[in-house]
Amino acid sequence: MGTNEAVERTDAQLIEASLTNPDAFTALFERHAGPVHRYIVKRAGPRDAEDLVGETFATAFRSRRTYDLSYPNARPWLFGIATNHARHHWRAEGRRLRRACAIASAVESCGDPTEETLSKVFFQGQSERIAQALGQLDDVYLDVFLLVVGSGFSYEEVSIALGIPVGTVRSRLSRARSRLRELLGDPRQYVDEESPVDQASISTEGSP
Amino acid sequence: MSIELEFVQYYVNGEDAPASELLIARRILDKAIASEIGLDDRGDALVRASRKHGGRYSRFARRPVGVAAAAAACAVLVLQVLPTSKTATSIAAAAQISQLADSVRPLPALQAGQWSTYQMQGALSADVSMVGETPTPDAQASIPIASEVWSNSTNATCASQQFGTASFASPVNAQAWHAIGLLDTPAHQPVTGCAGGVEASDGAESDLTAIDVSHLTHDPATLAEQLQGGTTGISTIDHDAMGDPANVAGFVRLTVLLVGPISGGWPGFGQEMLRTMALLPGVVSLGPTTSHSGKTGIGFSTGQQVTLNPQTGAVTSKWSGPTVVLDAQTGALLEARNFDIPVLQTAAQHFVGSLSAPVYTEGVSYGITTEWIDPVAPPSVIGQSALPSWANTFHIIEAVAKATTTDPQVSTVVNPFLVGNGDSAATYDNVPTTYDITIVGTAADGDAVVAALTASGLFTSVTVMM
Repeated sequence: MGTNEAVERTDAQLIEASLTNPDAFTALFERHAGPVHRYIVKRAGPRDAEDLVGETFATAFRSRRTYDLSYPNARPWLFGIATNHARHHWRAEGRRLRRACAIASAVESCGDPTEETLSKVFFQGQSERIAQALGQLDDVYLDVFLLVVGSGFSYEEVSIALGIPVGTVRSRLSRARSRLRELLGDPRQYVDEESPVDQASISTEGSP
Repeated sequence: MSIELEFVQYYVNGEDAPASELLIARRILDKAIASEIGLDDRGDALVRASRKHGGRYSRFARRPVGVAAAAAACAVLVLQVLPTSKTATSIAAAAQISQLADSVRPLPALQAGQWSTYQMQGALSADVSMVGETPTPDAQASIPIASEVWSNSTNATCASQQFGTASFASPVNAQAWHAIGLLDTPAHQPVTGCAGGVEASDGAESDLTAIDVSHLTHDPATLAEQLQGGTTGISTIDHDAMGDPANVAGFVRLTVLLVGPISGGWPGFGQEMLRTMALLPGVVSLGPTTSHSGKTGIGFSTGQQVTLNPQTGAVTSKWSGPTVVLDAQTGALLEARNFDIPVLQTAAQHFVGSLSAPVYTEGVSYGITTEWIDPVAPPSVIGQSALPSWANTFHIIEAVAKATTTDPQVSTVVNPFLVGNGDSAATYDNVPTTYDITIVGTAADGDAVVAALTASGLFTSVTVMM
């Protein structure tokens, strides 16, 4: 199968083709691996990102028979799997640290290292203020927020990706935005630092 | 657009990595595809291609650093290349190995309440090549290790693992090691703990677990194929040595099984491993070889590469493949060298100074190679009362959920018991979901969890594993 031919096919057609010709699935990788990688790097860090991307596509491949072929775009499905793998990543990190803490019983910094705590530590350890603010969000809000704002998903796509109703997507996004506004405060404090926001955009749009 | 949305878009902004550069990810997918269609060498073709085109395959590749170095050096002048995947194991080596297989003593069969115990000592080579986006080629150290593992008939395992003080080849290495937030002497040693069920069978996530071999084929010919293709079904084994030629990967994976620690073994396990080794291509006999513990046996390896400077003729690099030394009388493993042990890949975390250290917050690319590891003595069987006292504070309970049970429901029941003294893991991908809950405390604490799980009505069975 040539590349051009693959480009012309929808994701659903590629998945359907892969049922009889498994190699057809690699075109899906070529199409979506880059954005999935960027999402995972931001959600779970760069350390295991490539492994997680690989596991995301391997999981998708193994479960492709359950894919609803009436959806031509597989992006929400893939990002949903990626989100689950990112959560599993923190869960595994949590297990490691919990064991170390419980056994060593002397690592004060460990506290109660649940996967959500570690997720927060990851974000708060980054130099960007926005990442630190994101680290204050609960993971259920963070996932929705990163998919909508970071990856440009529609509410319907997030609904498919995370398996939650559209109304829940809206409410979680709304809560995430409110919380971020509280955390970020006056956006002008970031101007001339790491933010792309300039004075003009602040004066014309500001914070709603 | 509101300001917080613009900030977040800035945070996640950036160019996507081209799919063609995500070689590790692609290989994982390729292995999934190959597993379905029954091919086992496409991954090697991919990796060879990536090396040819200078891809960044080494990032997070859990394999001996020396393999990559040797592969790069091949482009200069390889003086000597011993067996490859296209080369059959010599008849002499295969005969030697088969003869040794006949002498291997059977593993002790475990009864209820009995534990198999096994001690090892050795040295690891740790090489942190990159922190975040910053290369750290000098951050290298050698780390001594000593461990003891106990496993019972339910495949619950307990382990005590002691990492020693890192040593450095030069002050430059020490400085680079410290600069990224790593310690010379790891904190809180030895690390001890027990695991069962899901965690015990998923050694990739812990350095305190044994490899569950209970589902491994007993047919050496089939196993030899599976080891080379990474299709044994044991993820820690199949993911090891990814990127190496099939024959080298097969030998490394077999070595990991020989070294252990394993759980779920059967009496003929050792014999079958050596019969499998005799079937792997490219294995050579090194003749009499002495271990670091001073015992002499017969060495077997997948070969060596020596690279010369074309101008001066000087040796610029020498790579020895993974090697095992077997006792000439009993076939017992005396030493294994130059290979990865998956369960030791997490060794680096013990040297992280704090959670704010660059190695933790920015992510690292690293390789941990076992320079050598020697079993201190063959596995032996002990009773429950001979376990170390700390092991008796662990209580592992396996609970199989009903089809209608949800994860949040289980969390509501289990989480109150886990705060500060427990852990849980689940086979989320399977139906029915099986939860393995580990509680550290008194026997009464363990009993309380069993009672709560049973009373919840969420499970079809609740079983105490240790």
